[in-house]
Amino acid sequence: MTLRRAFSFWAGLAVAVVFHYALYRIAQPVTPFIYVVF
Amino acid sequence: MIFLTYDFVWFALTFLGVYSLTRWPQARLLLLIAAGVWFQAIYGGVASLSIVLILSAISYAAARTENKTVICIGIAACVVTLLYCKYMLFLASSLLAPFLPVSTGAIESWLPSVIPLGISFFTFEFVHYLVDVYRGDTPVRSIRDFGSFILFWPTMISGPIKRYQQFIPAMHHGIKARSSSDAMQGLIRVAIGLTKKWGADNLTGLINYAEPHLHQQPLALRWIFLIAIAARILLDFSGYSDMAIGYAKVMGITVPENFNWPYLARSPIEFWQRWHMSLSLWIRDYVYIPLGGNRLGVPRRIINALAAMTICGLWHGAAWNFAVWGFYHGIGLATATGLQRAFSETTPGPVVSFAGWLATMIFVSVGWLLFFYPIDKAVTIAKMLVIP
Amino acid sequence: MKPIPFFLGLVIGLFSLSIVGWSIQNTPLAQSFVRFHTYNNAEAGFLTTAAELATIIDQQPPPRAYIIVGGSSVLNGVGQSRDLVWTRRLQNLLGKDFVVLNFANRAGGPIDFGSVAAEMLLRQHRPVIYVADANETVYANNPRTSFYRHMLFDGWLRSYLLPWPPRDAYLRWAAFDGAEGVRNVALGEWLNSFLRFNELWNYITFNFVGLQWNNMMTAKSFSPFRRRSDPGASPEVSRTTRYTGNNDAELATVASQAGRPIERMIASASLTEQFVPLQLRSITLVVVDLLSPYYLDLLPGSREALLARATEQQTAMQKMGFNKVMIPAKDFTADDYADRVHLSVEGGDKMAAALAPVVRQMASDLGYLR
Repeated sequence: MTLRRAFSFWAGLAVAVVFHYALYRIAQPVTPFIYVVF
Repeated sequence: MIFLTYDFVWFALTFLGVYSLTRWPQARLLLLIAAGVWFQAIYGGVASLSIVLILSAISYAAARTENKTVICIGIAACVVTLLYCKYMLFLASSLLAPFLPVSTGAIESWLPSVIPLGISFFTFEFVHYLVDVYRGDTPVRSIRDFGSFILFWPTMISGPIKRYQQFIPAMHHGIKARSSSDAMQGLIRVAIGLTKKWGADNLTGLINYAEPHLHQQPLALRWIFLIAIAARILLDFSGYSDMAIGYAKVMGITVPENFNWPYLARSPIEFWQRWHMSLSLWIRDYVYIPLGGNRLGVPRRIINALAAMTICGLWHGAAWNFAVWGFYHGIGLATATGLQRAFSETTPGPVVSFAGWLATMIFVSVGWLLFFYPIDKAVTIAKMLVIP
Repeated sequence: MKPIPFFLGLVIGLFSLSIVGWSIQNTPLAQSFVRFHTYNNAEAGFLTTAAELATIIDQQPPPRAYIIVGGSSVLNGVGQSRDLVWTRRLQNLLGKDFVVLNFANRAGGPIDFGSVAAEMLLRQHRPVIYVADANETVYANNPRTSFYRHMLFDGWLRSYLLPWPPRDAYLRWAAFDGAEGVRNVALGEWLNSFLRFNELWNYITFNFVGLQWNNMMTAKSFSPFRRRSDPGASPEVSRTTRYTGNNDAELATVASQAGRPIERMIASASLTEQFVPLQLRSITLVVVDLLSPYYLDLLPGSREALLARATEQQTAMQKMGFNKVMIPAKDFTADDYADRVHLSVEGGDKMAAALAPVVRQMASDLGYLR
């Protein structure tokens, strides 16, 4: 049970890192790629 | 990419925050519809929103009549709208130009100035809805339910293509019983999608950088280039789908999966059972089967497969290379089906399975060249894979 | 997985990362700052923050006056190597009483990095002179199209900017009704003011690892930015390669620039009114750029047309309250340019020599040297 909680906590931390970095990355220009043209 | 703008971050934070704090299901439903209207208006424009609303009204009303003629008119309206908005220039310049004494410039002046956001997706959802009602399924009575199906913002831009029979119960479950576990799973899914998208963006940079110099590279590096193209499109599109599915899950709403490890496929048939599944199922149910499927003998089966996959290719973009890509996959499917039938008595061993996987991966990867590049350039690059 | 520990991890994670960003924002990235690196721009995916500017300023020993240089690649010193950049020469001429900091950037303008730094110093009542460049019709660059518009919002949210009602109104409402590009930047900087993601991930990108391919650094995109050296073009290379490019294209550009209508100057003046506070103008020395005589002499009448428009610009800007407006390049020769617009080492030296006494006099008039 404790292991599941610890794993969930670390998953939350990882997702936080992803979201924090995403906010930074949004400001960077990127070559857009659209799989379907509308 | 709309999901990767600060506009969208604020929209998502505000929407999901209000959605989570609102406990009353009907309020959540109205919020969902309002958010969809807002999303289409902001990112597609008011003209785009108008087209969606008009087609929604036509589809809803046509289905409610349960009159097959009226439903057919509704289907025609959706298809004509898609053809007009997306394919008019292509059809006119590629097919009709030799016969029509009208210049491309004149044709362009008839075209709509805006292509509705997600038109390829929402017209397919309208057609699915109308065809299923035509075949006897119960139409949606509630305008709000129908509105939520059409104006569901997570899947508005690039799918997955929903089925109303699955979506509306899932939506009702979400607005009534969204759990913290749903929100957790949804956020994890969004994070996975974001990570895939960054991988895809980096590969895009690498591919655009390497492509002009490909002829100077050794053979091995050219194949790595091909693998990069294949990896890029999977990461990009499945990453987007993960985000769409994730945002829906945060609301407690389950939408169909779109990818199931497609590069593990051992045949083109299996590939299309794993790649962009919502589209391949739609093509199967609303193009291939109505054309006759595999019920009318082998030659007709092959023709149906080629036609269905060519339409599938063209759906991705209004250009010949997309049509050729679809046709190419149609040939692959027809060949794989024939081989499957020929060797249906035997169970493939590990060597055959591996050979099938390798052949499929090469087939699919080379196919991506047709998808991304004009036909002549795709052929040039393909030749570079075998000629040092 | 369990939702409660997950959300705990998510909240603690976001909070911790933001705290780290807040703490790190005043850690200097560059040691011995000279000027912005070639790859310090939007194309290379590195956008300097206002906090980093403050850190660079705080690394310097406090002088009697700061000379903040802002604007375009001309004042950045493209065409001059890092060791011979004109601002080093200006520093040498001015001596220890002054600290010269070159915050001009490629594709930059007078209302981004340099002006934010200058206004921050003004708000702190520190002695500062701002040196920025204009061309013959345009001073303030439009935030809607500026590559570095994030600086305006970043500086404003940190209270680095002087109060200036027409600009404050623009910045306050840009998040709601600005043009799409500006709206996104405004919203992003609002989020950054709480979560400090720009500061944290700039630090990581600079010191440890790049995470995004960019077209400027290509295969080296993923190595830490601090490893990128940027000596700039050597004087010998500049001498041999200048004016060897596509001269027809350059002449076409020169012809169109020499013929720009006065309406462009009027439109730019209204932008200047909106985005440049009077107090900043009162400590600003504007350098009006010209083009290389090599091209101007190939197009009869273009030199006179350009100089006439530059003189009109000079007069108009003096009336708008700028402390000094100079056209040092009117006496420059083809050897003073590295290409159509950028100055060579010789040209940079000349400009430094022309500006030094003017800057010193300005500092004296403003009371900095008492």
